[in-house]
Amino acid sequence: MSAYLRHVLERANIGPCRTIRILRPQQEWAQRQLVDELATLYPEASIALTDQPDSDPCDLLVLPFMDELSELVRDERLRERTKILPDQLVLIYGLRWRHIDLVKGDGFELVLRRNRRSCGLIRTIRRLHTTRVALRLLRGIAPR
Amino acid sequence: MRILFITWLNPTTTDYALFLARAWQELGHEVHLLAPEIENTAHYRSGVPYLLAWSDPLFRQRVMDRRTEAVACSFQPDLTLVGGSPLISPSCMARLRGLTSSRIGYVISYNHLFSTAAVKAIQQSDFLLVHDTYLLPLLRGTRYGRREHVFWRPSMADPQEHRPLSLSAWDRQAYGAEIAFIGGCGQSRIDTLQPLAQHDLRIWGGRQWASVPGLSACFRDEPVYGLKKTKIYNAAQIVINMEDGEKQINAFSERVPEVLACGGFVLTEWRQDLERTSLIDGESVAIYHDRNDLCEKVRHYLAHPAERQRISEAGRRIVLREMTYAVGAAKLAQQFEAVLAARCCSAQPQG
Repeated sequence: MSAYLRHVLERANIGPCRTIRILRPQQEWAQRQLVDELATLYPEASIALTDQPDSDPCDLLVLPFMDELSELVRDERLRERTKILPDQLVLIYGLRWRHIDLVKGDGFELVLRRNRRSCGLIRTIRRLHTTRVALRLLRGIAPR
Repeated sequence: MRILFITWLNPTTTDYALFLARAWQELGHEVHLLAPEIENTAHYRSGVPYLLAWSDPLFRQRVMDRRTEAVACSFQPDLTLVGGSPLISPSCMARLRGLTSSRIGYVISYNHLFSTAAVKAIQQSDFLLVHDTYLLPLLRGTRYGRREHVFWRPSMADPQEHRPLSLSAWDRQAYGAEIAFIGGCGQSRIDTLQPLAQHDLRIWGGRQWASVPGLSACFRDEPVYGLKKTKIYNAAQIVINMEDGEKQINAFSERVPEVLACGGFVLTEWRQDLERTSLIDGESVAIYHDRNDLCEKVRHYLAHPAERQRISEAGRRIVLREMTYAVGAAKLAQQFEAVLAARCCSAQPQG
């Protein structure tokens, strides 16, 4: 059991998952970790690793990354050619820090776009040496 | 009771808050777990404020303050538990009193009493929940800023999460070390583990281990939480539990009951709070007192698998009987109810 993963999935109230596809992570331990955790939670489900996330319809598509979300932005297997359907349920899984999120396919596209923009903006801000000023401003407008 | 629990769910330690919340729910209480790890969705994490400033404690606290107030207004808790160092500001704790009729408890997991934020949080609390019994006489009282209600949260295990597993050959190969250590890197830990490198020692934890001479080869750069932690507890011949004296003095880690609940064997550093349990050295748990003792006991227990088996079986029986979240959560809920009852009594008009 992975109580945390179960908690996140129950909180999202996603219903039954009969087919789960996982975008194959590089490391063997990561592949096994994801398959084993999901198999414990969904013992009846068909779970498989894939390199083509849009090739096979499934109830849950798992997109793992190791340290930073931006790794998914750079992942060749998720480039323009790949079309994740707007209704596809996507589990984003940050392996290092256990950042787990559930979004719909169109939500996932938004996350990637936002991350791409943010990273560019942050590089610019850092280059201008205004991080400290920005920090003070952001404290004032901290989002809910 | 309606309990709002504001806490970290940090993958590098135990998920004690999650297990406690679930146990309270099973007792019929309503629990809202407010954890930054869950609240910060991918949408938020991919945005500029997070990427730029989440590492700033004041910014983080401001975000959590606002979310807490929004949740408290709709959830209207009877009891609010605040964890971290703390995760919300003392002024937010004060505002919660105006927004709800909640009693506020500050959860002290590590003994960070000398930080200004912790002192202010204690002053804003109606009661305290501590993990280290060393703090009980320091904090309990009616004068000098002490608190009348100070409760102890012992180390516990969750038998659904921490349980015996049948492992695959790959799992045994990957996690079946002679000695397993999971934890952060510090000088005393380095000094203690270095003599054990002659054995099949495997270390999981912070990446600093990768650059420690003599131990870097033992380090596995693989995050450990959830099912994988349970696998290591099942597969290793000996799991070492080493405490951090700057975090806690009498307390012992949740790792001890967690390993035993898995049917594993734990060799733990001695801590006074172990004597509050039914665990007995050499019968239901293995305890070491210093580095030489640790090395001797490692050699002894590696050479005597039947003795390890006997001890872990006896330890598991005790943990399942006395040291589960179901048992601990019920006791804590009774103590919280007493705090709520005391409020009702004090709110009654005199005479």
